[in-house]
Amino acid sequence: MVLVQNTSDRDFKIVYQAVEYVIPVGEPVEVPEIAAKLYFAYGIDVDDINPKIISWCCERIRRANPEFSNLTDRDIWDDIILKVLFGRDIIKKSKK
Amino acid sequence: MAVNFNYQTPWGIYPPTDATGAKDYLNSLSRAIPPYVVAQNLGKLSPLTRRILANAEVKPISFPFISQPVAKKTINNVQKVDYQGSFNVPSSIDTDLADMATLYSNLALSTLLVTDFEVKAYEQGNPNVLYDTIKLRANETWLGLIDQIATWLLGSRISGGTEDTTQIYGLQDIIDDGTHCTNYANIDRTTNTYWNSYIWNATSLFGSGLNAYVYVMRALSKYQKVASTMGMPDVGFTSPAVFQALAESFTNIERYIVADPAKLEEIRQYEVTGIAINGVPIFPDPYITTNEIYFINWSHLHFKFCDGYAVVSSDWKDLSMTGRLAYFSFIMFGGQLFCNAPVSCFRLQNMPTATGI
Repeated sequence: MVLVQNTSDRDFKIVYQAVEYVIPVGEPVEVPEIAAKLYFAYGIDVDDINPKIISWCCERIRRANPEFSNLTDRDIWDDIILKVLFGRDIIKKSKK
Repeated sequence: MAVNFNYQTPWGIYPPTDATGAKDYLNSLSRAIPPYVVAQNLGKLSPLTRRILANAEVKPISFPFISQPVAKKTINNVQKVDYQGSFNVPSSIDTDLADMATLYSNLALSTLLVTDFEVKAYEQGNPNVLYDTIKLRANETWLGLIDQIATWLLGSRISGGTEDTTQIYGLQDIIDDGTHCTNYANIDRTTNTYWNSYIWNATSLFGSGLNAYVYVMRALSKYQKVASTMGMPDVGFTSPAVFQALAESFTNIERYIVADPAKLEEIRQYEVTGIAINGVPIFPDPYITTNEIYFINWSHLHFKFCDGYAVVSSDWKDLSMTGRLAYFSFIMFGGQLFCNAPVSCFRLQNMPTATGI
């Protein structure tokens, strides 16, 4: 499991193996590492993140959140996925 | 003086032995059933499973797994040549050979235990018996096997987050975007994006209140735009409730026009009529219980039987050692469903359904 924090302006959810994980704004929650990899490209080397990986992350976010269906990949990547902080970042932030 | 008990060959009325009675009768019911025959009987239950098995191939047992490199990306290394005949020499090879992914899938073997009792055969000697209970039991066993195969093929081998690697892959594992089956056939779907299938939500993507057939048309057009490198899907399979809603979404005259153009091949006078939308026939299958359509490209989805385990039954084993005058037999089913390009198939979810189906 990995701790994630949603710093965007909207709640959303992710679905992994039929289990739904709600990611509320501001509140750190734990999600399976593979789910974080599928939806937020967590753990994938920055140099390896290509447009297709970005596109599939957005595709999955859209499917789990039908209300985002009309958002473009760019909107979802910039405004939602990049606003998700992972464990280490959250700890760093709290230390500051 | 040696006593020679010369029994000689007995004659007269013989008691039953393991070569007569129930076992003899059971042998007449126990046959190795070719997959094609199983497929024929499946038609009445699951047209999709029948289609998969009817086109199955058999692999030798010495290769109890399926392994093959899979296509990963398009390669465009075109160099334009000018009138001086010169062109740019690429500075490096265009493909990372070490990065070539290989599909690996084991063949799963399943057995079913069947037992039958001597007394049942004994009962069959009674002229007042209404029906042959052993024959009925044999038939029910095969129906049970067929039901199980259909459930596996159209289902998933992942349940509650745990993958059962002894079970064959199902369509839900293969046609997936990684959120259910993250690692299909030993290739990770998180980084190998070409290994994902599209799954679209009809109403949220295309808007609500449209005719059912319009969702299908839009999905096919969208698929053609984003992922038709492998060609368009050959066929769609859906639940009876979605199929009915599709049929009702046409007006009477349109329904008449589209009702007949596509059929699965006729086997034993049984056929399933589909509705063709934008050239893709869609069929109902009762083993699909969700409100979605599976679009399948037959060029990339195959079932391989393991030679020697292509639905065979063992001879009848004697259970008298366990204190029962009975016999059992194994039915063995070994193979694997695999797809060498999951992106060639896709799913359209949240389709309208007809109520009461």
